[in-house]
Amino acid sequence: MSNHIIDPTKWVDRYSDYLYNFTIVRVNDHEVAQDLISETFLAGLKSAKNFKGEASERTWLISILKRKIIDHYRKTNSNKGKAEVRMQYSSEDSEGDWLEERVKDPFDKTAEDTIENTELGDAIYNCLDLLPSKQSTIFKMKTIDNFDTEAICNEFNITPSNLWVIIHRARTSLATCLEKNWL
Amino acid sequence: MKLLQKLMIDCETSAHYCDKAQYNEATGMERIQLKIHILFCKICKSHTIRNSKLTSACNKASLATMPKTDKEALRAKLNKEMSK
Ligand SMILES: [Zn+2]
Repeated sequence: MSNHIIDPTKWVDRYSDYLYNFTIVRVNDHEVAQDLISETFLAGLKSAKNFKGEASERTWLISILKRKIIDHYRKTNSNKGKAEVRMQYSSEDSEGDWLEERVKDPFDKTAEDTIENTELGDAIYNCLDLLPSKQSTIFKMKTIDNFDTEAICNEFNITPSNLWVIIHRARTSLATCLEKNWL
Repeated sequence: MKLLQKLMIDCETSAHYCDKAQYNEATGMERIQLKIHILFCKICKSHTIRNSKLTSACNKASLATMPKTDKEALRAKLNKEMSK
């Protein structure tokens, strides 16, 4: 693995959507999500010198964020958090730290669905991350934020046919990436 | 005969209409043309199915992005912290 370096000036551009999506589905509150991400970035800045460059910057930020989310669950003693997912975190390991135990109630279909959709969202964002950044930005604007074709074209100074070519490439790559486990 | 010709589209056009259809931006005529094309073209048929599955996956996951104003606020906060 190449040696990763930290560049906080790029954090918002690179990771804010990913971290936001990750957080909002778990805490269900915009303000809380925003605070947790803000705290995550600040904590990241503070401990940047401890970053060893073994994991990617994103993995490292996510591991900080996960701890913040768990702290939030603990603090609010959120029933929702308890009912839907139980998370355990071991500070030793950054990959296998996110254990989600499914609620054992076979009639609780909504909780099952929620967990599956949360995982699906993470999977889509992971695949989006593999696209060239312009492709993923335009795909997100069109698909998630529902921007008009015209608005996107103006922002990127491209023609509608350029836009559709980009969307087509993004969709094809995403479908391939998700195919094995999700489509 | 002319009508029939008008209804026939090639694979590239079919893929384009299929993408537009995912965003509800294909016209009624384009939808019909796409439907006719995939009656005869297996490759485009499987592409269309896959593309539609991606659309429902995205809908199901109810994806979110951070609102632009919040991004700006966050950027300002980070910059301020970094300049300390
Ligand atoms: Zn075809």
